[in-house]
Amino acid sequence: MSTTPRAVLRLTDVEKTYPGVRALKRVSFEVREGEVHALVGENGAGKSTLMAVAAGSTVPDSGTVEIDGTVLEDPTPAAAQAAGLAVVYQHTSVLDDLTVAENMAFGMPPQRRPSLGRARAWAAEKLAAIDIELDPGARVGELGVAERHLLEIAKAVVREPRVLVLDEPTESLTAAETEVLFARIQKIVATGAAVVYISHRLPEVKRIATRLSVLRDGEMRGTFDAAEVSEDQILQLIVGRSIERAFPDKRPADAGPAAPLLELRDFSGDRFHDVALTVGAGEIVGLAGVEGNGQRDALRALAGIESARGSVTVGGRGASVRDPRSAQAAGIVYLPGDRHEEGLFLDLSVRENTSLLSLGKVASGPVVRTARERATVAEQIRELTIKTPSEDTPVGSLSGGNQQKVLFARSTLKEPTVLLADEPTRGVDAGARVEIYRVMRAVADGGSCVVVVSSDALELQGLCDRVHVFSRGQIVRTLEGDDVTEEQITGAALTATSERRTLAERARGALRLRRFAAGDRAPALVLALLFILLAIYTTGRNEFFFSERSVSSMLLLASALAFIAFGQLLVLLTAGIDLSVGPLAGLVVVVLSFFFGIGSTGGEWMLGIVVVIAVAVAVGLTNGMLVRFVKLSPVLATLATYIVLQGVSLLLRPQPDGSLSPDFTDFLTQRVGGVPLAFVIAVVLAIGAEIALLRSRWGLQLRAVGSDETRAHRMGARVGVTVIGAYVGCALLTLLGGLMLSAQIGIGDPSAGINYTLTSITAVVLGGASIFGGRGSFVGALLGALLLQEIATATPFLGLDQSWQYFLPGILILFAAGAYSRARGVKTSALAAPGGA
Amino acid sequence: MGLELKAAVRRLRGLLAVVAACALALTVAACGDSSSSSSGSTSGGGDSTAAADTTAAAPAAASTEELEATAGKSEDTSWCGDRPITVGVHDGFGINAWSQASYATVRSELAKCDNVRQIVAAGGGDLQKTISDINGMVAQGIDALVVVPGFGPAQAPAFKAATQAGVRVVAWASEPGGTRGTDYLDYVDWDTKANGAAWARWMGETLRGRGNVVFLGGPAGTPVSQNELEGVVEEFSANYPDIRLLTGDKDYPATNWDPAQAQRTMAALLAKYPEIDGAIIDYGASTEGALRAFQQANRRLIPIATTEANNLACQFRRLKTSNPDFELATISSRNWLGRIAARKAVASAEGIENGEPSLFALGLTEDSLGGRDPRCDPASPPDTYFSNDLSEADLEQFGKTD
Repeated sequence: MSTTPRAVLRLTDVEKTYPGVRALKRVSFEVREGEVHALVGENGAGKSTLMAVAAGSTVPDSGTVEIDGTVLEDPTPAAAQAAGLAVVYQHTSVLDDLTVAENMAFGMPPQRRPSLGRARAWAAEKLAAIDIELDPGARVGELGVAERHLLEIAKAVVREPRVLVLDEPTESLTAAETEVLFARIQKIVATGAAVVYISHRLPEVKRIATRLSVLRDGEMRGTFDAAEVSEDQILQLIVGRSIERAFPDKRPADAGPAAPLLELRDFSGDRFHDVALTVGAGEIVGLAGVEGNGQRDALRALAGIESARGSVTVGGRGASVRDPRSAQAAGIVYLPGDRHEEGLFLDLSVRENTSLLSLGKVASGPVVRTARERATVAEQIRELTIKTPSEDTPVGSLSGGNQQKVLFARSTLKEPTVLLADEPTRGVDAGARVEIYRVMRAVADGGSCVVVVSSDALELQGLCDRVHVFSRGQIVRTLEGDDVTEEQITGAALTATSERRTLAERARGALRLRRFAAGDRAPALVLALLFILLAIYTTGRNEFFFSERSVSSMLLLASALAFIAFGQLLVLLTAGIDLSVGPLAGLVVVVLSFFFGIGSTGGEWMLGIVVVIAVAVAVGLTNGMLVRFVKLSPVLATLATYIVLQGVSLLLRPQPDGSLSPDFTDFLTQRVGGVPLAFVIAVVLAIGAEIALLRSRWGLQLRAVGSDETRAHRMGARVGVTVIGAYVGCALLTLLGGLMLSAQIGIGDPSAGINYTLTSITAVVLGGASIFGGRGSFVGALLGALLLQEIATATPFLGLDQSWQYFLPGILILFAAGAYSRARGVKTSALAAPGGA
Repeated sequence: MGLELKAAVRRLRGLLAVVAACALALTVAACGDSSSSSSGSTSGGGDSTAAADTTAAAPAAASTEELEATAGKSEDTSWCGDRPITVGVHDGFGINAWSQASYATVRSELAKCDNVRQIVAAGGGDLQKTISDINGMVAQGIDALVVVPGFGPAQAPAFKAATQAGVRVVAWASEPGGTRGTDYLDYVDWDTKANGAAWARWMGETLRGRGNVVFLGGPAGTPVSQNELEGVVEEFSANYPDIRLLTGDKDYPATNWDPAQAQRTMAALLAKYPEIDGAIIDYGASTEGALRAFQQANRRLIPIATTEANNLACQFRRLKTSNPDFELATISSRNWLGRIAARKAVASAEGIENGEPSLFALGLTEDSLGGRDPRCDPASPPDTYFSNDLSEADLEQFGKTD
């Protein structure tokens, strides 16, 4: 037996060039089993690219990737995962529309994936085993940043990978959660697996890493035993020069009392209350606490983003923080913590993003003076050493640290009286941190004041003149002068959290109701209720409504719409839309009219069935490929198909012609026990598809792709097959709808199906599907189709003007869209208290 | 300031009142003018009371000409029977002025029978809704159905099912598809081939047997325009061999019965043919589009044969002075046939014989050369059809679904 540990991850001579940037220059990197190997470097040094290559999501120009002895021949995320690599990304790649349990299950390799029926129990067990407290049934879209990150970590850990890559894992974690993570990392490496740990927090790196490698400007600068290098040495390797002490001087204690600039009295909101504090000119004040104790909410309320009551005074004058605009008018400028969601317009240039808040400075009237704008922005770029090829580069292509600097440039350009900074250095490298600290202090020295929320207690210690510690929405302790230390801050935050768990318990009942309302099945229940109410009302007004003839006719007509709605839902789940269903249904009827005419034979019938199936598959493939490979937007792609199909129908049958054989239409409209067979099939199909959507790999994959294509791809989903499959499935279901339509009209009418495009979308949306993909319900779609048909049927029974035919569904859609999105917009915290861990 | 404003508003109101009074006076004058001219004619559809006197006999004996002269009206209500019945009234579109007039004739006719209850609905241009409506009416136990099958043969299965359930289905104004007798009871409509012949006869006389004529039809291949063209071709070849049909004997340029499309089609024809002496356009609203094409091309207007519309008549009046060759002949928009359809449906459900015709070879209802001036009433909606002789009250009360 050899004593030299084996390499579980080996990257050899990896080269990667992007337009204008050589991101990786012949980088070799080796991780041994049983070690924690830190990868450090400034933002933009190439760490993320290197790990993307290892994970198979970026294909290198040259070089090889070997995971646990397997060389990746054709690098894909799925292949890397199969070989034993798992990555926890800095920006989480969890899927918002799936639950915690589903996300975890979907992250597992297929052979080890639990049956989705017991995914929740499985996830609960796994989460408990790794001490991460998340509710397996919670929908991820409702989770906060830290909770998502914990889920991301949990997802990777349960795979029991040979190599676990953690990219800035502690950025959004509290001290306590970080301890849990470190303990977990030690257990993982004890089993012989390896952890690649990417972080800017050098004390953490020193503590956890066995060895560390330094990347700078795309080049590997060396690998060291962590114990043999000091923090200062690491820092020098990272930035390529020695840097001065990280934090600028604080406001001198003997400077006398500061003139109050920002005063809060009885400041209360949903998650904080009775906050009173005063910040003087020249001061930097920190708000600390365990995540979720109201400190961040108070900051955001002050910025006008969340609602609050109480008095806010800026510079002695009462200020309104009703909305961001009025807060800005009062001189309050907010630096968002989630820069992708709230801060930056990723497609806009550095220049535009920077000058956005200060257009008054660079514009004359409505016209932006580009020269002036350029000069101003160029100065900021120099000032903050933003690394960007030019000021016209889209912000989205910069590294995380530089993006943050752009945000910072924007905020300081506004010359705030009060600067609010939410996690100002999250995802920012050591060099840039120093610059940001310097600028913040400069803002304060210039006579303004700064309020910072940070989960990094060390940062607060170095930066703040005073720190207020929050617990349960209140300030429980204020630290000043020499008391502003990491230990005091963390200690004050942790000792005050004892009562949180009980609060969480109390909220659980209400939470369950709210979660059901936000779920995918609630709309079906609402529709069923509306259906029954309308049936009762109409029957009360006109008894014939409930006659067998009426009900059976209604169900028969509804089944055509239901089949097409199922198809539409398939596509909608992938975040697409299929406008061509209406004309396709019409084309099916037209094609049938050539094969199923009066006196047609069995042979013609067989041929006819084959031809319509071929037509449907061809249409579905065309739509799918236009969307997937030609990269047309689904609306455009299927609009084109819509027009072409309608043209083909009119070409084949310029006028309604070709009566269908009564044998054929009677076959389609046959009843079992008074109920049309087609409707029975629609119900069975809806229930079957619903179960498959929730419980099968296929359903999960469909929802994953619709929720976020890129993330689903990273998780190994077959995006192309799923999307194209959805369009083909949609076309085939539309074929079923077309069959039922042909029985209704009995003749090859080229324009008979057109209305189904809109009604199918209406039915599906009423059924609770999101037009942004990822969620929807087949049972909901069935009930949506039924309700629409019921409204159409009921209007003549009620003697209503036909405009009601339009009003009612219109009102329903507005109501449904409003109610559903409201129910889902409410964020419900799924994180149980971290407790006293 | 405020006082001044109020005074201004008051003055404005006074002005409006004067304008309204003038408009009213003009309308009355116009009506008087047109009714006096039509009562002087031999077979026009103008003054109904005078005409009704001559056809007060049993409607069963009335000819198509007599019915046309009275706009289908009759004092006789023997067809009502006495058994209480329910009649469905349906139109696959039912959302324009033509449909309003159609509802009004059918429903005001049915309202003459105290024993008839009506269920009325409109498809709104939605085939699925139309089928659903008719199924729903049958489920409500209607005895008869008076229906404009806007979707043609695609509604045949619904009619067949209704007929099998014992409902007397009378389609009108649009071909129902299926077979008369088994799939539906009867189909009442104008004779489209006779339309073509009537237009061609007038055109032949107006042009004194010589000239170049164009024919504009509806959507490509529609049987309505195809039959009309056939009537035109037969009439020309039999009686006016020197009239040349520029647009061909077999096919016609399509307008889709859409004024904008008709304008484009006419513009193309004007560009292609420097000399056009007459136009037969099978829909009045299409003709209005065609008129714009003439004006844009700076071409003088020519004799046009088409179907009636109030606005078209008003345009004719306005343009006639500057276009001395402009003449207009129109065929009725035939909404009044709904009265006959209604009578047939009820009579059949009541077991009463109805000998009225189903197919109507209509004559001209307006002829600027034959002493029946096109009737223009600026106070009425642009697409009012005067040949239906509908009272304002009937149109108001019955020209809708509820």
